[in-house]
Amino acid sequence: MDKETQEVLLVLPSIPEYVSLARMCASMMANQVGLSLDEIEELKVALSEACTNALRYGCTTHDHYEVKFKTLPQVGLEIQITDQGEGWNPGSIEHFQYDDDQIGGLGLYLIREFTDILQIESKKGIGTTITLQKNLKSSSIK
Amino acid sequence: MLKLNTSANVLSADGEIDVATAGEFEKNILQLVNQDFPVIILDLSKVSYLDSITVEILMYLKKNVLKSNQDIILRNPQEMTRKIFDLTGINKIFTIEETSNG
Repeated sequence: MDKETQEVLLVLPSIPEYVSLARMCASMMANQVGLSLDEIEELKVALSEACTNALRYGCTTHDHYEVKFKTLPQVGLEIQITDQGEGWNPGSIEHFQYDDDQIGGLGLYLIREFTDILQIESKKGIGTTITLQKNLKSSSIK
Repeated sequence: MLKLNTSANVLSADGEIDVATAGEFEKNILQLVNQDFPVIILDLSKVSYLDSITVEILMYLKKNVLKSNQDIILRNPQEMTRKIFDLTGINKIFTIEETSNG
């Protein structure tokens, strides 16, 4: 297997049916870097939540968003989801509780649970980039 | 892709429940709710993927739609689905049923 970093960029239309395409791509690349089946399933959920977020909040003014996959040899897989929407305050939906009047924040909660690194950059009027990373467990590194 | 099949009070789902298919899933549950079944069973044994949207739907139904004499049972969720239910507390507000032939 090529140990160099590899990148794949998907430009997805703001159509919900294409989120499954992002999941398929994540499966393939995560398998390539050596993530386990359980880790891949978790990554797929995290990615889908970020894509759903882009569809809900980022595609109100634009008809597409981007998903960039980057293999990190001996480390794992990094995924960036970028939209050019209105932006939002990540801190405002950082916590999730069932008793909240608004259920919002559940998606971000699952992203945090299922990834090793999560960064959110959001600027009003410019858009949002969610960067998530799933790392290989030390026993999987060859 | 998601296939849904209803038989009496049992809704069986086969495939992926996500932002693209959750609306149809919710619509089918609501049809059972409106038929006033006291117990509605969602057979999730063939659901290969679901995420927070399904959790949101279930929470919404519990809070706003289900009558006091109605309940939903979640049957045979796969391992990842079970993990999401555990993380989000769905396992505490709905009965999760594991059947031997699931």
